[in-house]
Amino acid sequence: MGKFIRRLSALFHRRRLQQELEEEMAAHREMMPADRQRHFGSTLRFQEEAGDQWGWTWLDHFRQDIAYGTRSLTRSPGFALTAIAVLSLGIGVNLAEIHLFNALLHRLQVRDLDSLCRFFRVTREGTSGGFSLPAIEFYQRHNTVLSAMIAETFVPGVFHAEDSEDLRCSMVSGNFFEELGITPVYGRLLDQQDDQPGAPAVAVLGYGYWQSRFGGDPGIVLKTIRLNGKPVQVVGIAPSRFGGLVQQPAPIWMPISQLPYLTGAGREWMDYGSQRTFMLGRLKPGISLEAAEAQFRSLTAGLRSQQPQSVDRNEWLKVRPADAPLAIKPEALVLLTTCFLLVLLVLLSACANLGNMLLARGLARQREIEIRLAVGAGRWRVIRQLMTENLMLAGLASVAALLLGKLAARILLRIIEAPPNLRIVTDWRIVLACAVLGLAATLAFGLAPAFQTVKRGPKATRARKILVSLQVAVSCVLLILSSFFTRAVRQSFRAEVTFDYAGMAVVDPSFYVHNYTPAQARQAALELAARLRQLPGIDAASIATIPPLRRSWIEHISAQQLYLNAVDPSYFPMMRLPLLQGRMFGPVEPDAMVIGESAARRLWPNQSPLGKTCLIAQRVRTVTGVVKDSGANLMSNPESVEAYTPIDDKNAVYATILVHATTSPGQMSGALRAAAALPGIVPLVATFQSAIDRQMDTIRKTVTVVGSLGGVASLLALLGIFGLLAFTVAQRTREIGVRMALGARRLDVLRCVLGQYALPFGTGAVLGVAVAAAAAKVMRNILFGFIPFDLVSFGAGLLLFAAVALAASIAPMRRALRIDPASALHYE
Amino acid sequence: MLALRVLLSGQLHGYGIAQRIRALSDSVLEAEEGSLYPTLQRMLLEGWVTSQAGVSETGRRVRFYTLTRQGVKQLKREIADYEQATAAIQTILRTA
Repeated sequence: MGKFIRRLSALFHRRRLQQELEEEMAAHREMMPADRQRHFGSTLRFQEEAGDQWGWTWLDHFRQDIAYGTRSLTRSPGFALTAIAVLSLGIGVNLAEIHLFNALLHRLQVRDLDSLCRFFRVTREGTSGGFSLPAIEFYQRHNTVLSAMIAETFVPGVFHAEDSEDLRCSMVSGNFFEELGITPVYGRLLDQQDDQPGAPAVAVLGYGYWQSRFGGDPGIVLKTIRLNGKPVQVVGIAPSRFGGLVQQPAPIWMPISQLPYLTGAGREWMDYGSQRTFMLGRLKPGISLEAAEAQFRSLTAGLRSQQPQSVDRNEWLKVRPADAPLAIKPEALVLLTTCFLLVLLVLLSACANLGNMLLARGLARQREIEIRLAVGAGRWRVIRQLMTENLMLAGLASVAALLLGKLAARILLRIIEAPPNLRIVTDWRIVLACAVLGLAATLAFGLAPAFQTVKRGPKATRARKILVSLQVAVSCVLLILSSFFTRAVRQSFRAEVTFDYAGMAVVDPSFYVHNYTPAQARQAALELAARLRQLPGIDAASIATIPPLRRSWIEHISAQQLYLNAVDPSYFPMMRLPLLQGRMFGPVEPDAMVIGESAARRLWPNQSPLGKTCLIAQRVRTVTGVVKDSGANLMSNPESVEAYTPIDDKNAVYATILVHATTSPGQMSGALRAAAALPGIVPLVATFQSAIDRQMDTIRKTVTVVGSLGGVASLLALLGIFGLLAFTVAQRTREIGVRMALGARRLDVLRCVLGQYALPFGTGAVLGVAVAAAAAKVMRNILFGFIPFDLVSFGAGLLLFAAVALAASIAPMRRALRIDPASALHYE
Repeated sequence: MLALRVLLSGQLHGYGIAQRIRALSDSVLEAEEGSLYPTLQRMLLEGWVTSQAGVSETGRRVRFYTLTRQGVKQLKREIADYEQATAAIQTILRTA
């Protein structure tokens, strides 16, 4: 301990100690008799050795290295700036990606999140988050482990005045905002008084909805808006950092007691049977999730004795943290991984680029390094010096990348129109990632050139060639992919579909949300379809549980994916699906099934499918007929095959009404909604076109993102190729001069410069095409099934790269051709 | 060890230590005198000696070194080690 303190104090008094030592030794020499002077030895050496004892020599070396690095970087500011720019681009795009990921996985911004938990009912039928209101009241009254309870439910299909956009309105208990510690931007939030029966109807607007619908005008507070035609007073605006608790983002919050007012629902939604409300609670300090679970298990048993018909025999409640990580869909995961790989490719490209620049610089500095080695510098010391210089570059680039990454992430969020509660925050994770990336990049781009510089030798060229092909490959991948997506956008939706999707709309009453029995739902759907068919401007209406282009229902029959739909027989003429074999099913024929022609080919190749059976949704179905393929699922999967079953007791509650309008269905949505209104239900109306537009929008955003990555990579490639060729020309000026003096033509000169890079360029391009093909296949399978997999986009990508390479090589080539043999021979 | 031993009799500056070692060893041990200084630094670091600023006989500013309690302990340990080693060697020499 004492030793450590002495060592530390020596660090602070280094200069004084050094001086004392010097004086002491000088005095010693003075006092020595003249004939013994030479017995003292080398003063300098002993000073150094004495200094070593305190163990701070490395610090001096480090300082020297930094000074050396600063000097050598400021002496070539062009190199330094290019290197920093290249590297900060590479690290920056990675940070932007991490920023986005961070923003997507951000934790809820509420007070004391850790004590907040959510309840789930585990029953025979599975796990569900929905509770009935009286059950929540029962649990609230009898539990002793929670300090508060929050209830939230939502009502789909709420319309503001004449807007056709439907709002999923969040209905919450009065303590919601107070318990979560949310403060309003304007006005006030909901409180317990608002949730009393008979209180006036009030609403709080979500920040995003306020911005998009009301242009962020604070004057809306205390104004009255009309939701579903009923007056509701806006009392406040929620802050942008809070997007909602269970439902995110929530456009509007209203007290749960206003639900009948808003929807016209009767007393029945207050019953035990209406299990649609989410239950959350705040654990008292020191209560674990397990303890809460144990108590709620016995409470559930108590509730069962009171309400045997609404509580399952083995029902119990699962308690989970409210902030459980989002379940990421596999498609999203694949997409994210692809993006991660793409941005890593950019960084790799930047490293290859920088490595090349450093190799070139190392060759130019050969003489300096040789002198250093000759006067006794250790090999390690020189490598350390070079690496310190690289580290300084990486450090500066990382700082630049922090800013760049934040900026890029902001722009990206703007491009993908993310909800405003997604925040870009530079937290310790980002800084850590930045440091790690910077260090890794330093090792990746710096170590090999540093060794190479010290060792010298023919390997330098091989390393350069490998780096060049790597960079070419990376640039090709990104350019091909961006041309692939750009083409996809221009292609627009051109799937081979049989039906007139532009004229169609779907009316979705969501019977399952409103507790209809299958029989009621079926009856109501038939009535609705009949009523809508009467509407002027509507020439057809049908019923299907899966509205085409909007949802899908996939089952597997002997390893074959089958896109299913339960439909009314009138669906086939409406979708223009002619019968090819057999017969259609009748309205009451639950075991029958009609399949598409591709499905027939896939499931029973070279056989007649009629009369064949298979098990779908726990029922053995017999094929009665074969129809044409509709192409409705091509958008998501190019290899989709289809099958249809009649609407039965299981799926009737999911029924939607499809209508075909003679004019534009978009203008009919108001009339359709009005005509389709049922007691307590305002149905959702959407055109088919809107689903396609949404999909196209996704593609457009992807194009912008991949395209900008491609742009960054091209820029890097441009810089890299330019630097490489310029250096080659400079290095071989003398040789070219000799060749020209001996009568070489211009073509020979070009061959002399370019020849050695033909192989690496070719290898890189082939590698790039292969990787791009694999990536395009993955993208096509998960997202954009209808994009043709064509060679044109690959050709265009390669051509683009060739253009970049050409642009980069013009200046060095001109220089090579302008070489004057006489002056080149003097050149040194 | 020699430097520690020499300092046992009181505080000395660097030249003094070198002189004493030379005198005591009858000039048998003739090392480069400068090598004393790295050793002194190490002893300072280990805490075996402390130093005070002073003025030498020739009027230069020099450091005077004093043995600490720890230094005395270390000296004893080193002497013991040394004696053990020489005893072992002597035994070997006598029996061989």
